[in-house]
Amino acid sequence: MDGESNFILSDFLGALGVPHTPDYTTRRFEAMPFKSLFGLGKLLDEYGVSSLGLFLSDRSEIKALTPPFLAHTPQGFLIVTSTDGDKVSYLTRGVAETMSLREFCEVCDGNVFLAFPSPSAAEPDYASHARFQLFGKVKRILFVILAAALFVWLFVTQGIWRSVPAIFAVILNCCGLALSFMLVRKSLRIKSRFADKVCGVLQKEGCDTVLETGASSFFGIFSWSEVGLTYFSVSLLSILMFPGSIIYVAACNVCCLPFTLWSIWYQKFRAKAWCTLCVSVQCTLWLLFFSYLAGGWLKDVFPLKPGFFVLVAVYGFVLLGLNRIIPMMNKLKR
Amino acid sequence: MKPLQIPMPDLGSPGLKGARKLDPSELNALKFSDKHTVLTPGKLAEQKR
Repeated sequence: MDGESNFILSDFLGALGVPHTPDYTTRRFEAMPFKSLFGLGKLLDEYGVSSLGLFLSDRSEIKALTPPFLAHTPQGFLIVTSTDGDKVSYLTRGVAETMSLREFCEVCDGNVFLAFPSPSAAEPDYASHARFQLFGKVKRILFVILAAALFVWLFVTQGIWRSVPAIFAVILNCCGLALSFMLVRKSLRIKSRFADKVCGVLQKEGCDTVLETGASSFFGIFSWSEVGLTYFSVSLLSILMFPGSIIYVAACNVCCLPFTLWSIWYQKFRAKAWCTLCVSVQCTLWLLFFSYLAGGWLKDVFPLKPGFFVLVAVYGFVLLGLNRIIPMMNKLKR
Repeated sequence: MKPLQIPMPDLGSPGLKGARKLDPSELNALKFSDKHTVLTPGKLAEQKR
């Protein structure tokens, strides 16, 4: 259950002012035996929050209720946060929206769910969960700082800063890596509001639509998002650690270009949906091609030298490793 | 962060004449979706059509 659950309980508790941590809350919600308002009521009891479900035959009577509360529509639940004047404000998957009271009365089926936190309401063992969450944040920040420091050190000492095309190649590989990382997380159904926002640029839910097609993987063996993550990470590290290998990285980039045409064709004519992240990756591959061209690294590609095959072997090794690790991470998440 | 103190609604009041409590089976019938949809006003309006 990775749909509504990823936001609704955490957002609802946040709106109620109940201290909680997103990880524990999501895990408890996903472990609910009854994935319904009945189950939610039982779960909220653990947080010191009592609840009440009401059916309003006259939907406009929501104005007599004190927000926040859940309102049901045939498409899912909304967290109503305000009913000022003739406007209803609500949260949906963490996004704040507003509609008129009249529109709300048309879409809501009359079922609402109210919550009443006690003064001491909080997540069970909140203090230790919050500490654990803090340590997790510190680890992530340290990881980013160390990665940035190593990146800057390599960027400077390897002389990459001296060549504009090389600078572009590094930046574009970083962008490609970030995009591929978001795609892998999306394919694992790991919630990310930032990724959702990016995905909404070309077409809302386009990423989900395309990632659910069979073409999102290579005959079900490797997902294209894993391939992208491998490609950009190995390319970036090769350029940073072994700047001389950029000619082989450029050659491999040329080999990837036909894939970009197939991907765009597939999205337009088969999936009939646009995945913003996927399109961005294709654009990044082409921009990389022009960077390598501008740097003159495609001139001496042929005859293919042993270094090219070593790089291909590294790509293969990392891809096989990721292909083993990512499903394990998915299993752990469940 | 301090929990909000939300008053219990008065079901007998003029503002809630059309309200009744949902019983456990009705609460259990209202299930959570496995969809990833952000329910914008436009998206919600589609269901009316």
